[in-house]
Amino acid sequence: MAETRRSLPSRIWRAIPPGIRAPLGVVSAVIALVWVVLCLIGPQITPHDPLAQNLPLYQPPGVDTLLGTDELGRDVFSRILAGAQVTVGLALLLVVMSMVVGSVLGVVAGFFGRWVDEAIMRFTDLVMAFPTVILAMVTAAALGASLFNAVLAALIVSWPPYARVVRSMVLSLRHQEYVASGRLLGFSPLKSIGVDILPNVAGPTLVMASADIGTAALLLSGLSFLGLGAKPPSPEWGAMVSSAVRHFDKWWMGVFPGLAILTVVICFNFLGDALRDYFDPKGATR
Amino acid sequence: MSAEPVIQARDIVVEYPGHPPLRAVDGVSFDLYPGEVVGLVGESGCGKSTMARVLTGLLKPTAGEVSYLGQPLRPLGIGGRAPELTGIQMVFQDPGSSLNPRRRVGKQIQDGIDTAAKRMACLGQRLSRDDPAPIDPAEWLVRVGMQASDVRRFPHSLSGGQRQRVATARALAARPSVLIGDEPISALDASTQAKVAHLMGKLAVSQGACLLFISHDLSVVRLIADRIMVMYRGRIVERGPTAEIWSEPRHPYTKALLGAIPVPDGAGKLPAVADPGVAYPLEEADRTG
Repeated sequence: MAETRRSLPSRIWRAIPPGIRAPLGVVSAVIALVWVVLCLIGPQITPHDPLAQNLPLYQPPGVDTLLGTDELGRDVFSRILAGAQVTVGLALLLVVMSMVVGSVLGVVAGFFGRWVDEAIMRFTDLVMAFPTVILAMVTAAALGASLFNAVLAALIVSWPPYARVVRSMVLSLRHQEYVASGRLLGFSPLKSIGVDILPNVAGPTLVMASADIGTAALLLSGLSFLGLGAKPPSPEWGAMVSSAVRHFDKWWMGVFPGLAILTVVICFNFLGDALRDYFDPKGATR
Repeated sequence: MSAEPVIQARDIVVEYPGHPPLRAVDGVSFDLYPGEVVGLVGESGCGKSTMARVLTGLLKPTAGEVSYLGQPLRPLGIGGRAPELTGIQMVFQDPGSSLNPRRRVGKQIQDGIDTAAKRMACLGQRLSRDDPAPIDPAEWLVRVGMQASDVRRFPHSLSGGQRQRVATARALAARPSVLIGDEPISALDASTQAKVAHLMGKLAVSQGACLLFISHDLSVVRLIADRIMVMYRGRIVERGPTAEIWSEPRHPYTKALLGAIPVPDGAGKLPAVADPGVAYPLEEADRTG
């Protein structure tokens, strides 16, 4: 991503001494992996039903209810486990979709150039000119509050960086001699893209995507927090924090979903930065 | 030179936009015939590489026309190149980017073989084991002086010379009727240069193709070329059989180029450098008399 758009976790990463970045990257990868696994099996291993309102209200963290209960008597721990599927799962889906949309547009713009490039890139600039969160909010509000619309809104704001990065990589690749050789050998544009271009942009794009998962989770929970995403009783983390705000003295209701969001955001970002350092050792000190 | 020319370049002019526009190639005409090795020499910036791009159709000339096998050559556009035009192949300058870093060497040579198969299919023919050109990437590697087992390797594990050998194999596997080498050896060390140049010349001619070998280095071109064209500021200023150009240059610029070749006489004499301040005449030297 462009230097000016570097996220907060990325800036924190730059401040960490290079010597401990690699082990930190491994730790982040492990935590990120735990979240991905929970996203698959979370709903099956909850100690309580995440939607059932059958426990005492406002129970502080204890033995039976590990992280306490909320205002409707639901187990916070179970809701966080089940919510991994919503928040992390949708974040993964969102990142994959933005990567696909952005890469397709970026490859087409970079490869075909001329007016195709102009049209796509001006449109990209147009979307990027709006502040991300505000545009997502406006879109989600206009479409109506639902999880599906929140993902759609988030997709609309999160593909442009991919389009730009992929386009710039394709532009430089297009003038590589092996691409010209392929064209002289009679490769069709599709084969040229598939064989000579895509495999060479895939690595950096995937690294960018992995660093983006945290941001995507934050954006989705942010929309849910504002009431533009997940609807009650869905155990979405942002929505959980949102309802906890009204019960500030019952700190466990908001702190634990908040911590879940924090670890996802930080770990996926650190993982992305660690991968970037690994694939591009020259850039690590920048 | 009784055969029909493979490539005819007529009054090629290439201008790059700017104020004023830069005229990189200024009215160049020549013919290339099957089975010959032609050297195109000149200093950097004289328009040699631009000329190569025009001949392959990668660049559309501002004026003039290139014919390939008697037909006007359509420049490469957005779409793919028609099979009948894949008989024009090129080996590029930079060994670092002449091969796709993500694909095994064997696959990339296979691309060349597939290209030949496709073109022959258009003519109703098929590749055969009895052809003079191999139809197996491993055989191609052996032919260019590498190991058959190298098909499994990736370009990054090859040296610059080996990569240019692979690039040559890929280009020749397409069974071109003209192979253009755009400074294919300039990034290689001196001993490898001569070997790769010899290899390109030998293999191209053995397939009945024409090799246009572009270089700034007359001393290497002399080893393989049947005839030489000297390019200066976008024009061909002298052309003729290699031996004659070498022993009896007529154009002052050719003389300066020859003078710039270091002599290994142990005297440690620095080569005479062509003075950039000197404007040599742009008219082609008359070699008829």
